[in-house]
Amino acid sequence: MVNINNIIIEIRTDGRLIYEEKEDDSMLQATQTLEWLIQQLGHTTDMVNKPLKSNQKEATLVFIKTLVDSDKIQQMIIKPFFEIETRGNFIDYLHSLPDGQEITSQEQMLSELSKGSIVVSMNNYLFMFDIKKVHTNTVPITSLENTVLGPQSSMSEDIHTNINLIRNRYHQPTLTVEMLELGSKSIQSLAVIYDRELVDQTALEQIKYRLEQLNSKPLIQSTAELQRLINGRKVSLFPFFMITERTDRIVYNLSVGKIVLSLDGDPSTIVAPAIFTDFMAAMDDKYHSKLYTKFVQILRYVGLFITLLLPGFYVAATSYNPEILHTELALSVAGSRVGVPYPSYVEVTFMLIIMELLIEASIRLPKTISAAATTVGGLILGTAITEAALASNIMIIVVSAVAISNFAIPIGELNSAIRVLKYVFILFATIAGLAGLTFGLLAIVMYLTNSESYGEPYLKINIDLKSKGEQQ
Amino acid sequence: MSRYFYYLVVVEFVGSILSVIPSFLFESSKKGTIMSMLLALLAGVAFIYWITKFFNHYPGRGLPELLQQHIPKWMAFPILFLFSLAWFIFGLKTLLNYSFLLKRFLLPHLQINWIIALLLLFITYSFFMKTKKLLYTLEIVLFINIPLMIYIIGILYVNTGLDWDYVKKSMMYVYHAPNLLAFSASFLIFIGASNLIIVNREFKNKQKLTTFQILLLCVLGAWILFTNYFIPIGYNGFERIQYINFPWILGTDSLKVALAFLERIMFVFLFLHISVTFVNIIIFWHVSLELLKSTAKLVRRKQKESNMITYIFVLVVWSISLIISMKITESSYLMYARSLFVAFPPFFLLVLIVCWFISWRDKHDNRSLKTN
Repeated sequence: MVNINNIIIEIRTDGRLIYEEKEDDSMLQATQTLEWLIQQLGHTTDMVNKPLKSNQKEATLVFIKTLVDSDKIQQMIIKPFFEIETRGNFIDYLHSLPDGQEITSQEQMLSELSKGSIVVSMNNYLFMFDIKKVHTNTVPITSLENTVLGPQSSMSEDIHTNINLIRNRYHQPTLTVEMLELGSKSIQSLAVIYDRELVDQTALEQIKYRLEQLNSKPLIQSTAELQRLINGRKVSLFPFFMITERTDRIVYNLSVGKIVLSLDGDPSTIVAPAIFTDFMAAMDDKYHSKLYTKFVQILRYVGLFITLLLPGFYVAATSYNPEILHTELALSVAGSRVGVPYPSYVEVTFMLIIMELLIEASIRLPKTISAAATTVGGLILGTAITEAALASNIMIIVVSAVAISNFAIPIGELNSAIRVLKYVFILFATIAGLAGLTFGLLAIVMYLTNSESYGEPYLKINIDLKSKGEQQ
Repeated sequence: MSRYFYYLVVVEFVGSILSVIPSFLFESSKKGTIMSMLLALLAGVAFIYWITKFFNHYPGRGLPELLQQHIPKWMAFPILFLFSLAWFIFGLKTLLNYSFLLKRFLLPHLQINWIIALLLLFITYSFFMKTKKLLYTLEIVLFINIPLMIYIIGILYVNTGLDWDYVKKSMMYVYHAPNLLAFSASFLIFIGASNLIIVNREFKNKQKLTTFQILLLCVLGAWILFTNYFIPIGYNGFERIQYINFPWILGTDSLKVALAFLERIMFVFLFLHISVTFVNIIIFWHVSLELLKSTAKLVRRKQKESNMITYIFVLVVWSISLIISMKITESSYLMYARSLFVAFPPFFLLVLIVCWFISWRDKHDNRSLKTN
């Protein structure tokens, strides 16, 4: 093993002696290291080992061609090499470059090379520079969390661009970025971003601990996968992390002391801890006028309850407790069900599943075909099925209302949780009618209040009473 | 006081309306119910005052901790066990009445033991919850229910179906010696504060019960008692009301709001009560379970964290509730409840005596420390 540290220390400490020849063994070390690197990377054809020579100077460049920016090599290293006269001046020049990386070991050099660094060997000195070329740093328009007002661009797939976007919106010296590496094969960079003064320390420790437990995973490719791996629950329906692509949401969360995890190669970031009400908030709640915001928020909760309870309510009201409806309504529901051969729960489940299939189809299919799918689906969910007496007219209204109001929930993960949960309510309603529905609602409330996201209660009414002794 | 304290008190107020309490009040409506209600109001508010005053002295500590510190183990053990049993019975009596109500009005085709099993399925989850989380649940349930509740009771007061002549007639029976059962029944709506024996563990800040807060509770209690007794009389008449099993439901069923989503107010009222009573049972049994855990801690030397007691409690709750549900009928339930209710005021007197004894020992210990 060659001890690289020796060389580095010498480069740093004796500024004056640097131009003179070194003793033999360190020269041997630098050459050996270079040879070792070339040998390790020799099998790939895109490895470049380029010797440079100009009157008295000699240098060798080692890099992987497909990862680095060749213009930058030309501008930064090759051109100055021929312009700068003496060897000493060129080494000084290399020292002054801002992209320089610290060398700690051979293995580190190898792994940096495989991420897009270049190694420059000059006499007995080794330098390493980060000149990777990234093709994923374009910043697209938001696609998942659309808002009417406010910033429109989301995040890129390059972690440095993302950190840049965040830093550009949050100018605080206390903003801390910690870089970790995830996945024993993919070695993906993960940035843990938080405001040092505001952050909840226990939550930070817990998150770091969970991340350390992940060492054995070979590949972690998306933030959604990461959040599933670190949420600590074997089975979970409700989201305990927020996944967002909006920089304004990230910055808002940083300013209230939350922790942001950004994985290289994924435009969405994780925000933790996240509680139930966070998922019911859209970012333009902050941008619109107050009364309008309240109106929209109420609308969202109405949507939540409709999508969750309406199918179950239909089952309960048609098969169990028709007496609770207005007489006219109860009669018209019963009238529209004339000829439907199934009990109401079969009818509801059947129609809902067709609706779910339609939604799945429009997510997965290519855009050109999905139009056909929606047309066909529209036929099924339209008058045809009622004419065939497979479902009642009112059932069609119920299904459409459920489908639409499900999308009133602004964040996707809660959206999908609720999508699953409504079947549980149909089950409760099938067993015990409206009483079952009420118990189901109570059970959900109990489950949500009992859950925690990194020490924060998941569902809780927050009332800020200023007077002494009121808050506990 | 912390707002969670009020929830504990209020949930009992609201829960009383659909319990057997109104029926017991009507039983002696010509033999001094009004006088007993007045007495119970005084006694209830005094009870709330004393028990909160005691626990405000010891922020963050429940009764088991205080017993452990100030009272020898051989005395603490039976006290804790008795209290645990009592709170279990509170929960059980509420559960039974609740399932009779469900069977009568919402689930007529299910047998009573199936209804109880269904309820227990949901209640069992609460045994694994922490006290604090239970308080959050309570808050959310009340937050949804109380506005609707006030709306319905408001409508009940202004509706033309309410005949104030009956109310006035029933008030003529005020000069009668108080009746024990009516007193116990109306005293029982004030026992919410006694859950502090466990819940006080969560009130870690120094709490204070001001005169205004006592007055507020007093007015609220008086209003609930008044509503509890006189509204059904106004709707159902005075003469034969004691023969109605659920006078409140019949009262609310005479209301129709044609423009509302659900026309018959009775069902809205039922759903509100289903949820409020549900949390009520959960809290009673949570306190019972926590007391049982502390009792077990007294016996065991090792402070090992295990869910053993909880599993045993689940087993006991399921088997006792199901066995009782197979034996009991509505009339026999009323008979047992009558004798149980009479035993409640002395029991709460015992609670106060235990509290008083602890504070006496505490002062005594402090004095002896000082002299040493």
